[in-house]
Amino acid sequence: MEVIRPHAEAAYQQELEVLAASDSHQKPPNWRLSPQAVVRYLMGGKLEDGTVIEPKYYGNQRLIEVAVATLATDRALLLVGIPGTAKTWVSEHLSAAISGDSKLLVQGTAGLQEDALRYGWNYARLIAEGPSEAALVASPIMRAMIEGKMARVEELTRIPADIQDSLITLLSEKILPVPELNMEVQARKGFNIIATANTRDRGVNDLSSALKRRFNTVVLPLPASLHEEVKIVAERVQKIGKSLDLPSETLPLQEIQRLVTIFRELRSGQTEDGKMKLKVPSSTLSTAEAISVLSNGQALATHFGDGLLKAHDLAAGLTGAIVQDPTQDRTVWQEYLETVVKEREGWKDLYRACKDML
Amino acid sequence: MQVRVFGIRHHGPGSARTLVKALEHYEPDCLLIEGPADADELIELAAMPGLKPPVALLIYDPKSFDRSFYFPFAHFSPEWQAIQWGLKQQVPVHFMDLPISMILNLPSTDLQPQLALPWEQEASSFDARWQRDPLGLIAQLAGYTDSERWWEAAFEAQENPVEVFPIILDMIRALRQEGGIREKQENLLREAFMRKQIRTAVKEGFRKVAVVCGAWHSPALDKWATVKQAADNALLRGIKKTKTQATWIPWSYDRLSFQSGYRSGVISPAWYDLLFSRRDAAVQHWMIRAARLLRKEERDVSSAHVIEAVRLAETLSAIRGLSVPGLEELKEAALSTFCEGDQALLQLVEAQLAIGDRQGKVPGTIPQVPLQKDLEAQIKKARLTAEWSTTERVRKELDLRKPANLVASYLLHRLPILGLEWGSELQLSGDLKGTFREKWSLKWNADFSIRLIEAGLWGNTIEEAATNKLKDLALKTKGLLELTELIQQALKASLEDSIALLAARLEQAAAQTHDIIQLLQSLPALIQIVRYGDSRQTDVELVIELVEEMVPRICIGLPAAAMGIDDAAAADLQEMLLDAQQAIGGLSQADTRKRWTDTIEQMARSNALHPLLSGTCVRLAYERGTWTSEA
Repeated sequence: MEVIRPHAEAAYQQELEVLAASDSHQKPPNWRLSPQAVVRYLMGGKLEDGTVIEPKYYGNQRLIEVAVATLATDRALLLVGIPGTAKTWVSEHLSAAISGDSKLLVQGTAGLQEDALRYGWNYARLIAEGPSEAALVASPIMRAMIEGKMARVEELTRIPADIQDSLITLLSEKILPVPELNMEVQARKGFNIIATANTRDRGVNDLSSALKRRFNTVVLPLPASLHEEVKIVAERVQKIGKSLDLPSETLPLQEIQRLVTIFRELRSGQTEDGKMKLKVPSSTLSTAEAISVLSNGQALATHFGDGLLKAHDLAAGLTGAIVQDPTQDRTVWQEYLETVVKEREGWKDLYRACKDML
Repeated sequence: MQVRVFGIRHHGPGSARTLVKALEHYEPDCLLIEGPADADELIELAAMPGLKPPVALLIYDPKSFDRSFYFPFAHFSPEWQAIQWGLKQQVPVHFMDLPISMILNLPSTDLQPQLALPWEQEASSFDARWQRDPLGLIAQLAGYTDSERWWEAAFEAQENPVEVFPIILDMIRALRQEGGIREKQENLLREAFMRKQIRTAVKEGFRKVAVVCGAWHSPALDKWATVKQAADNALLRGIKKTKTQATWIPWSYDRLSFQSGYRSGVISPAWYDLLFSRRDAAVQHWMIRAARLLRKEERDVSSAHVIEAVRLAETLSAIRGLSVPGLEELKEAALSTFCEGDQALLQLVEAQLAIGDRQGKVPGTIPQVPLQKDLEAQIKKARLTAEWSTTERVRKELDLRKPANLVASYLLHRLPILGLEWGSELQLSGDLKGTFREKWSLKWNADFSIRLIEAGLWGNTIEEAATNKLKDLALKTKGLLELTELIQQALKASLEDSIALLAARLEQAAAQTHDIIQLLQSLPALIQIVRYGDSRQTDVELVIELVEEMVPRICIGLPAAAMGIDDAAAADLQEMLLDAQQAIGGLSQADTRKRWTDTIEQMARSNALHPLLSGTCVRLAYERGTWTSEA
């Protein structure tokens, strides 16, 4: 069975095994790898026996080290950033590397109930036999506590505030009381929580300061330079293309560069050379967006074009990514097209394609 | 007879601690330290209880104050610790480096006075990074980005046995012999001089000589016996000596930091301070300091935060293979726990946290310029001692009706005349205006010591020195506007003795000025002086006379100046007119005012002027009520 996206621990099983075998540093209790090996897994590099570890995170190694150190001191980790800065990606890989299991995941939504974080009931059994342990349905967090693994909570800030607060005691005392059964679950060593939070959305429930204090925060930034961002986008596009069976051996580097340049300039409100100021659209033009626009374009080119990614394949996705607010962003995009894209050397095709879209 | 060379890093706490251990072990009977030989007599003062580091040696040429050199010491500086050890053990301690009296006469083009001490391999324009930073290659091999960080991790952060000194010696020797480094001429001269001092000590019969110097120099000094005396003498021949003077002055961690421009500086004096004095609990103290600074910024940081930050810092350094967390680990831990990832919040306190605000003290018994004594007395009278001893920027509001505040105001106005820019006056907000209120922003600067010594040429008290300096300035200044400013300063600083001369010069300048515009421009300021002087009961007779003489002249020339000019000039002139109108309106001399209003009226009726100006004059006359609408 072909799966679109295998779990990290399955996709990179070989790397994890090699790292575990050659790991000579001390491991915290119930960790599969030592902290140094986890950092190596995420940042990539070459091992002594010649195995090449692919980089999973392109960015500052020191940030990953702080994240791993946090988890090793059994403080919970909170990854923060605007959408598309690899928070979920890092969270998945961290848990895969540390516990070998990235599936203990709670997806935070605005309608989340407390039983998603703590435990639920098998109502049939509950009614038939009365309260018993067999009638309990453990949440991913509870299971992580029992097994001593990493639990993941996505979009912590979207969870309603009163539900969020049930994490407070859990995080400080590492106990999950089950008052109905007069028992409690104590977390095994190796349990910890990796949470992600988005700083951009509307309707975000800010964490209470008591809850914030239970976490160490690591802010994942946008890529610092054009070169870095192009590298990230190119690599991911290639990966996605492979998994979707899109035959594109030649990476459209020029298109990637143009796209990333456009995103960076609009994001920062000025051209790359700093000479012209630009208006900023309301959309979050993150790296992940860029990747998806490119993948989209590639699919278009493969199935409806001649297989080579061209400007008009990108135009639809690009316009859609930038123009989120139909009135404001449209003007911003139009201005940008007229003042920057039209004037640039060799960007005429992109200009024409985008103009046609509007 | 032994000579042992101990190579250290200036201001390195690890070097300092290992050095003291080594000295206790070696028990020398003579201590030679890398420091300018002409400051030798000041060494014994270092044991005075009132002399608290950070302090600096100030060595200067009394004939030319711009050529002054500072040699800072913190209490974690190896040289300072060595001096203290020597004085306590009653072992003779000497500075052995090339004296400033000779350095001043070197033909070197990169002699930078002020804070750039020539004690480091400075960035030259040579091709290879190798030449610039020979230790950098070793650092790179060890996995560090630069030699500073490597040295810090290898020698300063952790405890080292005393055997580390011969290892350092061998390492630098190998670098200098086989590395192909182009030696700087100044370094060679200094090393020759230092070798001479070693030979002198040996000749004087000392059995165990200890030499404390920067690590880079250690192999050159170690071969004092093999290099021929004649060769060293030849190098040093012909260098003239200029007479210099030296003293101890208080210094600050701010000035000790690399960020201030001091090339031998450390990035974080506060951290080094902790590493030296409280090694076991250094991380805890650091985090507590960070927490306190953040609390001052109204950020809730609890003790639990501190505990977690300490744990994170220590785990982080374990992951990175460091035995002690470095500055980067501390910052990252603080960022993640206290600041919740918010860089901006950390930056608020970062500078203060990293640098620290310790200031040194110099006891009053150290020979001082009389002016300095008077300054301290004035500061006491003005009740500004607290503000003088802090390195932070402070605000002070003065109510001039109170005698102590009045003294403070005079002092703060007098000091800039002597080059000590301690205070800058701030605009008073809205309803608090009045002639008896002043608001100041004060920032102490370590530069003041040399400025004071320089100002000592002008007099023995602040008042005398400022008066004389002002008189001198008056004679040199020619511009009317500048002289007006000087007289304003003299009034605010209450330097009565200078006013007569200034007013005379002002009169001269006004008489020589034919430019109506200049006269018009300086009029408001002069009138303000008259009013100001009246309220302070200062004798401004001369200025009153001047104003009474200037206004008619202006009135005569004004119509002509308003004819045949372009729009831009007319706009400028309009502004000056309005200012003058307002100023003259406040004069008490009625006939001067009448003269002015008559001229305005005349100009209002004239057709030949630039329309903007005749229009303005119409408005002014109308407001005065002297304009009647005519056809």
